[in-house]
Amino acid sequence: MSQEMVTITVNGRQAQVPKGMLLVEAAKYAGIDIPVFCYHPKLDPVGVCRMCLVEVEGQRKPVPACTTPVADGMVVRTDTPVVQRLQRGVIEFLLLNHPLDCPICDKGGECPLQDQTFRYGPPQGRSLDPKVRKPKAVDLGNFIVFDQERCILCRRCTRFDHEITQEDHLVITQRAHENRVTTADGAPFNSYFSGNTIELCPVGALTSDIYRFKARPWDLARVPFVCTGCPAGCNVYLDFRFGELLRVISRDNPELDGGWLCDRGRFNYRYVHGEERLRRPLVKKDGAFVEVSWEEAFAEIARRLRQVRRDRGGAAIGAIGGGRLTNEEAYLFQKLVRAVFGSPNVDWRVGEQYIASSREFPGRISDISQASGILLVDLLPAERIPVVDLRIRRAAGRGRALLAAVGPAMPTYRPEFKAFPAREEEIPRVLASEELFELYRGRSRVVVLWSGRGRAVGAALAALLRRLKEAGSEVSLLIAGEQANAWGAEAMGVHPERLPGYAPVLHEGARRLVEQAWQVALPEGAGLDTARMLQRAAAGRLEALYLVSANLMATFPDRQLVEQALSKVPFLVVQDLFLTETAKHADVVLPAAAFPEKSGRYTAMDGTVQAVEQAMEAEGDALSDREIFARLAQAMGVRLYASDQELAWEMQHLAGAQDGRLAAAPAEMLAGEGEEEPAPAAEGEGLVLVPVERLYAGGGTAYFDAEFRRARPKAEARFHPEDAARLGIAAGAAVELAAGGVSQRYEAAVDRSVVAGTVQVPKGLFEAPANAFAKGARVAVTVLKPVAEEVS
Amino acid sequence: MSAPAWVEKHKEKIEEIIARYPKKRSALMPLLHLAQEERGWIADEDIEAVAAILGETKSVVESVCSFYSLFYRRPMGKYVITVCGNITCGLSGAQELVDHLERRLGIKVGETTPDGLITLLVTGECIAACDGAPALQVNLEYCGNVTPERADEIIELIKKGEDPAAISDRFGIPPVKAV
Amino acid sequence: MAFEPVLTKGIGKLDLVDIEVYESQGGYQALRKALKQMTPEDVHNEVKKANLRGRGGAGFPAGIKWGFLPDDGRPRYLCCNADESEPGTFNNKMLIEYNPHLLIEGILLAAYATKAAQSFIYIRGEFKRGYETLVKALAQAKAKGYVGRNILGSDFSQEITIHRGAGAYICGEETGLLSSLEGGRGEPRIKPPFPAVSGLYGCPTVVNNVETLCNVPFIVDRGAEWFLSIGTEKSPGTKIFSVSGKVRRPGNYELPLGVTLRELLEEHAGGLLPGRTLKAVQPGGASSPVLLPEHLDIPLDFDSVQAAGSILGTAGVIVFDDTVCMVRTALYYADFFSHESCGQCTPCREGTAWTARILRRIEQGQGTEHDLEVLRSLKETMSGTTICLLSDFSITYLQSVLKHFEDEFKAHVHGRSCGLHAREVRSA
Ligand SMILES: Cc1cc2nc3c(=O)[nH]c(=O)nc-3n(C[C@H](O)[C@H](O)[C@H](O)COP(=O)(O)O)c2cc1C
Ligand code: SF4
Ligand code: FES
Repeated sequence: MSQEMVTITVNGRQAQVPKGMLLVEAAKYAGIDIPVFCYHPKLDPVGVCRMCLVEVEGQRKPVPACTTPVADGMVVRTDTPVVQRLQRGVIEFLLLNHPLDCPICDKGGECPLQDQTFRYGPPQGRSLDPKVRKPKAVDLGNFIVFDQERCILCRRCTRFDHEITQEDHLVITQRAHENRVTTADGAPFNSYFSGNTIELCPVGALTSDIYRFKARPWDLARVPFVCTGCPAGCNVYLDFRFGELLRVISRDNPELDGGWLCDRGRFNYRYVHGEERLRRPLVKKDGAFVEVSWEEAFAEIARRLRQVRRDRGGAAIGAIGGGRLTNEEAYLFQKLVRAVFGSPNVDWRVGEQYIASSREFPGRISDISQASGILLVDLLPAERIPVVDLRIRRAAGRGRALLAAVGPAMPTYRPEFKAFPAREEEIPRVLASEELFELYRGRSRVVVLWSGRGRAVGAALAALLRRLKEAGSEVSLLIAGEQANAWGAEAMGVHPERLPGYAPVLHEGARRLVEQAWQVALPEGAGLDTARMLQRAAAGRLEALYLVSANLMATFPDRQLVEQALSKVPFLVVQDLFLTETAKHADVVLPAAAFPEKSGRYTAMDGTVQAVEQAMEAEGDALSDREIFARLAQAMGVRLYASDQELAWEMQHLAGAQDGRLAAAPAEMLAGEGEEEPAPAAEGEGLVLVPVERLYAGGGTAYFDAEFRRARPKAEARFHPEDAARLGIAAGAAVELAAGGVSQRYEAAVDRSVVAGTVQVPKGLFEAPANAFAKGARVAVTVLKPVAEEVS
Repeated sequence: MSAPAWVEKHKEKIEEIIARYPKKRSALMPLLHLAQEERGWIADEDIEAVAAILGETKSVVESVCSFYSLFYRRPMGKYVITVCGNITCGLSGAQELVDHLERRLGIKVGETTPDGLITLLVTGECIAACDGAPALQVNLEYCGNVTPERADEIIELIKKGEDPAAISDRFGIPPVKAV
Repeated sequence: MAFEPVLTKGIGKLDLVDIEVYESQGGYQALRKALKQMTPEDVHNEVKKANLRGRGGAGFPAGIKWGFLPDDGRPRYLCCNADESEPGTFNNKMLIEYNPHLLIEGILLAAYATKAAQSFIYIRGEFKRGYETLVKALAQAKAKGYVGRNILGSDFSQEITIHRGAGAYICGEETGLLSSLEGGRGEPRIKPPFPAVSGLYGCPTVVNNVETLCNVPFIVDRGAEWFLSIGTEKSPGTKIFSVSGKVRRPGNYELPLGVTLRELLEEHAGGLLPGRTLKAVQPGGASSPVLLPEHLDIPLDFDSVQAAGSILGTAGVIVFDDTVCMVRTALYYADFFSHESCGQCTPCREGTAWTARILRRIEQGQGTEHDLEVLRSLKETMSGTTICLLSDFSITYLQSVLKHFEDEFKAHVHGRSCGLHAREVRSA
């Protein structure tokens, strides 16, 4: 795309710059830095701090460079006595009541106010008046501490909350020098994106509660990394002090994160050093775990698995997990299972998602920003892929993209969107409806985001997208994985029916290719998927189960089945970071390395492959999953791979893994191959239970992170106002939901976004596991303790 | 919190207010005025109601509300006496007037008489009654040339429950000065 | 000396709020004439020819402003600025309370000329009576078919929406007004784009003062020539001078622009109080630099006042005699501006508050020479550096008194009072 260029002169230097660019940006082309406070390239300019005033020939008054677009022939000076005096003046004003407590301020050393005072400020302030005192160290929410004295009212934080998240909770109140940044409504600032304001804040007014007082920036060693919290693939920096991970901040990748992070990605990292990390291998002896050496653990696993293989055949072993592993580890995992355990039973799917990518409708996360139509299918993006949600909100909020949502739970957006509430089994019908088709027909670019749940939904989606494509739209399907690297695991063949590179397990040629590369015979036939492995195990027909970063008790929709399987299976190995509910059932527990402790590649939900290098030593004796697989294979007498180079070659050869991209799943996988899932529970009385994802729920890192746990959602059942009124439920009341012999207590909440006739409960809560109920259950509601009548 | 009574009571009026503007959000101030007319001040539940009507967050409504001096966010007396504290009134004895009112009412500026009848305020904004300095407003109705004696008479009328408009009719500022 | 007032004619004698009375005085004739005999362009041209300069403070010709509206299919809006909050200014209030139909007629004509889709009156919250009067007058005008659909059987339709402010001086600034009218905080916006190009809801918008609009019916009715025959060449027409402070008869006086300060004060406002001497006069509201006794004979029109080192502004004329402490006057304003700044711009938010703190100290005898130096220097960082002019306003008067009454400031600084008494008015 060619852009019209104009010529400007800044301090005598000429530069060609795109027409209409803001002067503050354009000056950079001439190598001139204009100081700013309120301006931020990712926010709409407001021109309030007045730090960027410069002189423009022909203008009577100095102009703000941050709001002035360049015009051809513009002659600008940023270094005149007038400009310098104004810069000194603005800084003098800003420091009038600033506490100058830099020695104890987290921002010290990386503070724009400090730096610009140094560079542009007056040698000394002239005020004789005592400083105005304001509240310090105010808790603004779960993770943010606010120091009002330091605030310079640049409004970056409030603009972020208005323009980017569109949540409008953080605002300016009062007038003149009484201006204050606050949530105004008394509610804490608990946006999923609150942490971004810390980075936006050009002073130390907004600081991280977790990082506060932990380090001086110049003592930090910084490592570029990729967040492994979800498949959005946001880029981060990890900041270490003497090997301790102290902070996670954003590293702008315009294609993926656009420079933002969610609060889970930003604040859920202290578990890495947490007490509850597994640091030594454990073996259960007489019902209790004892710490053992790796050698002992491997020897035990090798002995048991060899025995199973000998006595019952490899197919009596099952292996589940992989969606959280690196591409390399996922590859090695399935190779270990197939080539070393001799089992075809390997599956990455630990929850309800059955597919992670779609070759037929490729798309990039950044497409969302260009979309003219966005469709959300059975997905609450904020809860699963939060930073991607910001893109959706922006695209829809500016009125450019039509937004609609289909599914049992609706998102809560400020911008208008079309809601198509539908129970899971009704989704295919909605997708096939003319109404939906007509809504999107003719839109130049349609992006569909989907949870990857339900084969029938996949088939219906494929049909809809094909129709839209035929009608002339460019269509993309982005599948938001439940696990960070679902796509990588799927592509690497952690799948009972697919070898690396999606090659069908039963395809002779494909088998031969793999057998040649591995120099072993592949186990016969297709493997069992997760549900079937669990069913077999529960039926006493599986001898061993190997779970890798798979906390099935929390993630699998049928908790009862998991419980039966885990207690029934004679030999259970769990490889994880923590002693999860699932791990507690294990015979051997293997401590795995956390994300900063290992190298490898991750695949984002649009197929982007990103490499990271190990950033810290592993805690205790924990080993990377890659090393565990290799050494376990070794203990079983097999060398899994000879060198990194060989591994890379193998992955490329078999899985088509190339730098930068991974191939996506072929069309027939999306359209619903494999057996039909059992139909959801039958009709009946009561509200339909809709377990919904909550960003901070789940049985893993959020739960085992002492400094993040406070943010975990409570056991809350959300009702539509009409249902609440009909059932006599007030917000805050204690209620019991019961179905099929299961009953659980929740605190009631009333929320307009809940679909009438349903009740939403969080998924993955330890204290009230929603998967204890049967899928699609209708629950009876009993009010246990109403809230005290409000006196008004 | 349930919606305050004015929302139901003025259902049609609210619709009518919103319809006056090309964009709904413009109704924010009129709705706050409506709420304040009913209660005499703006309570949290009013903020919440306005937010709900307009589809904005409470924070946004509070942010706007707090910008304006005439939206009171705490309970006020039945009569609010606001003395102009700007220059012309100031040079014409406004502070003496305030002192007198404080003594007479037994309260300080910003306070309300214990019986809830009168709140005394001073505004920094010129109330555009400089031709009647020192001036004050009783529930936004003007009184001019308010000497301590006239102030006493005004308070007497207030105590009798007189309508502020009627008070202003007696103590207001004539548009044309007799020569 | 019987100059026949124009806008204020009949006020105090007739109940012009009653539409019948207004009509009996020739009211709504201009509207009738425009709709029957003139195109919108004709009306616009007449106003342009008349060189009607804005009465809201800046003196910008209304006809030229209307000509800035782009013709690009977006709806246009007309906003009447009735926020009148400039200290010492109270003529809009009188017009609204006593001659509301004149304003309504003026708005209708301006809306006709500018092809506005809808008109708004932004009236300051304190003008409760004015608001009620306008509501009543508007209902009458509607009933008579002057407002609404197909006015007087023509193609011209117009709704007028009255919007109440709620106590914020800055909403008088035209873009602050628009922010407020859109349901936001009354924060001014960066110009350009000017309201004419991107105003209310991002659409082309004209903002005119009450008094400006009240002149339009007469210009339409009697013609530009007539208008040009009043006042001075460059400042034609009448102006309602709001005189207050230390004079015998404070009040509104409608006189031709160019009347001398002396005539205004001595013949109309009754002169000084007995036994007093004149110290200084502000001719145009809070920000206008002082005029001194030597300026008594300057004509009060936009250009002459500027030539004398001040501004005509809103023509809110405030008179200070020898009993007035000039430090005190500066402090009143400083408090006012530091309270009324919207708070967006650093120099304004911080500078106005700082100015007030320094002046308070000086006034209380705790100031130093250093403080005076700081105050003088603030001109450099507070004027011409912000989004709107409030910051400039807050500093211009101060600079003029620092210059002309330096000795009074010094007297305060050196621990002696200037001997003049006017107490601070405490707000809570
Ligand atoms: C701080 C500030 C306050 C103002 N207050 C008023 C006001 O109260 N009334 C008014 O008519 N204009 C006021 N103005 C001027 C308006 O911005 C605008 O110029 C005027 O309404 C235009 O109308 P006119 O052209 O008819 O004069 C103010 C300007 C500033 C900078
Ligand atoms: S100069 Fe003052 S009042 Fe004007 S926009 Fe800036 S902060 Fe607001
Ligand atoms: S950076 Fe331009 S005004 Fe703040």
